[in-house]
Amino acid sequence: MTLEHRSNISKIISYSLLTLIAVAFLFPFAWMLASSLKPTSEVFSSGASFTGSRLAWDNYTEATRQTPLGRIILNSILVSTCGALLTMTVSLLSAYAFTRLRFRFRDHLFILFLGTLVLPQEVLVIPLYIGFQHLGLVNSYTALILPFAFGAFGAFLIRQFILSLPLEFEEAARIDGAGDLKILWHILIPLLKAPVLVVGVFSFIDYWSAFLWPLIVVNDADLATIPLGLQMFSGERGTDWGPMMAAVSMSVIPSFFIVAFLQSQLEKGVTLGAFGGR
Amino acid sequence: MFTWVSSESDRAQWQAFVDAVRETDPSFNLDFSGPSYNDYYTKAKTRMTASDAPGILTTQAARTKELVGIMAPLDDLIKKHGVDTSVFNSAMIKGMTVDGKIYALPYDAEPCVMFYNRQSFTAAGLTEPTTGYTYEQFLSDMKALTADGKVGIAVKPNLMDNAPGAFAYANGATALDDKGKLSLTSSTFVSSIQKAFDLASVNGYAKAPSASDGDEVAQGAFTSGQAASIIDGPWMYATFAEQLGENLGVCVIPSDSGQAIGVIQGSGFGIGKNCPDKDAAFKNIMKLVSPDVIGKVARTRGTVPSIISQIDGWAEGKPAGNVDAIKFLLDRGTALVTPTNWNQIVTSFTQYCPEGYRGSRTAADILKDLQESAG
Repeated sequence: MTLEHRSNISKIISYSLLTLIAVAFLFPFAWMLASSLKPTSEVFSSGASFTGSRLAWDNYTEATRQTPLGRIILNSILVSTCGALLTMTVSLLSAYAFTRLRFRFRDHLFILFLGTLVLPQEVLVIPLYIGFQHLGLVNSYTALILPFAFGAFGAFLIRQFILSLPLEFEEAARIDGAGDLKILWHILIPLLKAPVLVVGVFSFIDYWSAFLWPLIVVNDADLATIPLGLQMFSGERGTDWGPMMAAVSMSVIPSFFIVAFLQSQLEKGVTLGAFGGR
Repeated sequence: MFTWVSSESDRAQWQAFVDAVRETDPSFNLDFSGPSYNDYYTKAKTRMTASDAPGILTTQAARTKELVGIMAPLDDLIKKHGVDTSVFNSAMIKGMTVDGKIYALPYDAEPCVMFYNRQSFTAAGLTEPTTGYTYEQFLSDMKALTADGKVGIAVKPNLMDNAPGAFAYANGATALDDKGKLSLTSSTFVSSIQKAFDLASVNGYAKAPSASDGDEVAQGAFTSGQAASIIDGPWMYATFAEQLGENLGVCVIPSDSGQAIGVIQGSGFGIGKNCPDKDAAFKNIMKLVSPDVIGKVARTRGTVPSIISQIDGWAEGKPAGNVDAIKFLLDRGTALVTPTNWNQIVTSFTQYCPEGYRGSRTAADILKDLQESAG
């Protein structure tokens, strides 16, 4: 067997495996779309069939009639975008403070800050709710966005990158009279674009899929995000699966474009971890 | 009012109450808000502690104990306004009572029943069951109905509103003993649950569910004709009737004696602990649970009324046999009284019961684990 033959066989195997994996990942989406076009009564009773007795396009009109779906999708985009921007800002500033500023107990405080990573969200929900209630911020966009912008994950990730940067750039800038914010803005941010965007992308995904906190803090349907909105199809007497699947299909569209737009950053996010932040 | 209201069907339910009250009191107004039915109990505990919390809230009898911390007892108001609680289904009042205090007045009383497909029974040459149904007869019917890829009964991965719990209560077992302690390992409870498991693992009269199925898979099997029967609550009557029409039959739960005891579930209206004007809130509740309003909602929405004198509203247009089965179980019903960690118990049962249905674990084994972890 020639080297070329071996290379071709290896390519065929690789592509076959990749195709299988792609099909496995795409299948739930295909099933979701197929279910969105089945009458509700047939979503669970049509067995392995991709089609129902008719194409139920009315599921899509029902989905928008039963819930303020447009508003719900816009809420998710607004909350996730603002949350991601705030998380990037807070993470960058705190990472800079924990790396470059000198103050007492800095490293001890950082370890304490990192310790918050082990606290599950369920533990934080009640104290957070009580705090927001006292501030009169329950049932507001602020309550949806603010609490989870101050996590330690982003600060930790960016801090590791700052640590790997040579101090000489900053020292040169400081000799030229630059202060901390100027150094951060003109020297560090251009070098930290990749990790900051990775933090933004992960944060966007977290906000987009958050359920428990929005459930607790939102009282009006007008403030609901997509995970809450989809629950509006479930009632005491069952779930309207057809319209729900139609709503899921529609709510996936913005995230599809966002992921396509940020694909290179997502890839960086995966590879950054693999190389230990260098 | 704080309640489960996010779906269209739920909104229609509460609007039916408002409309019914307005027929005699046009000035009556009631705003309702809240999350979906599935998220209600998670949300209620925080929402009802807020300074702007709604005055009235709803609760299921089986979960009243869980909400006692955010609800006000109604006994003094019941006494003050001379409300006669004996007109309500006694099992529902018992379900709404915690430590001797009534926390809500019920609007429905729904005994778990067996729905069956009349056409399937007739095609198999079987006599339709109604108010008397022995387990022996049930097994014989299931055998005749299981053929050509179709099964006799559809089972869900749940404890209640389903074969396991319904069989246990029908035979006189309850989740709590006389002293209020969890008693999942009593011999009747264990043998009844095992009977439900055997339907799939031994007899092959049912398909074993998986833990992730939810209710819909079994319900879909029943409405599509893949299963000839299902055990569920009467709140599913309209949904099933929409699919099966005149072919929808209702009978009592099969039991050893043939005279099943019904396990009655339902919901009611209570008052939030922080409500600033509990008297005004109670007056509104009195309007919502007046016999006239309960009867009208039973007629328009198909809720089995908590006031038995209003059953005719619910029975309108339904076959006599179906109504008889519901009446029989209401008369011989017991409340689903549960401990505060009931949600943990039923969630664990959902996780473990597929092993029982597949025959890899016995009911005694699963229930022993549940009793030890939650008892």
